[in-house]
Amino acid sequence: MNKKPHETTKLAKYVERRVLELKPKKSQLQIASETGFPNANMVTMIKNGTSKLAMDRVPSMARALECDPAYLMRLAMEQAMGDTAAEAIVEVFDTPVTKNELGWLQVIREASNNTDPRLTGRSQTAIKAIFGR
Amino acid sequence: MNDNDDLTPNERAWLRFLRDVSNDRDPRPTLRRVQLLRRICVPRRE
Repeated sequence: MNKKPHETTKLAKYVERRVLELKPKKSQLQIASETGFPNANMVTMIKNGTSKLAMDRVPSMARALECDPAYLMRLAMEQAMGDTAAEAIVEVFDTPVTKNELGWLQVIREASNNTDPRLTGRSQTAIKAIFGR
Repeated sequence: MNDNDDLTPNERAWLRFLRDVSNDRDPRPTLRRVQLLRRICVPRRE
């Protein structure tokens, strides 16, 4: 049996990255405590994929990791039920949109004078260039 | 954030593409990126 069933999930990698980024200002122990985990090893278990992040811990863990709760929720949904089921839920209930994403949408709205521009092939190419792809 | 009730189908398409192209890493709209994005979105004059 796989001892690290969630090792390759985006959430495991993201939590690992955030813990590293926050290292200068807070310890992993603090993150665990702020999240409300009775077991301080829980953050390690989430990082290495031994354990998944329970949905009801998403808001407190987002605060502890100082990240966007909508983003963490999206990753937790993918981790809990897999990409396909998470996509189905998003299709029915709509996708959680992060603050950063709202920022992007704001730019699109302002720059286009609220003309609701289509995502054309030209814009796709330009966006890829913005992200160095 | 989750107040996205009024997203248009076009805006959803932009979001999906932004997620794909950024490997779903929720990138910040930095000044440089915003400037480039603005250029794409400015309506073209016929």
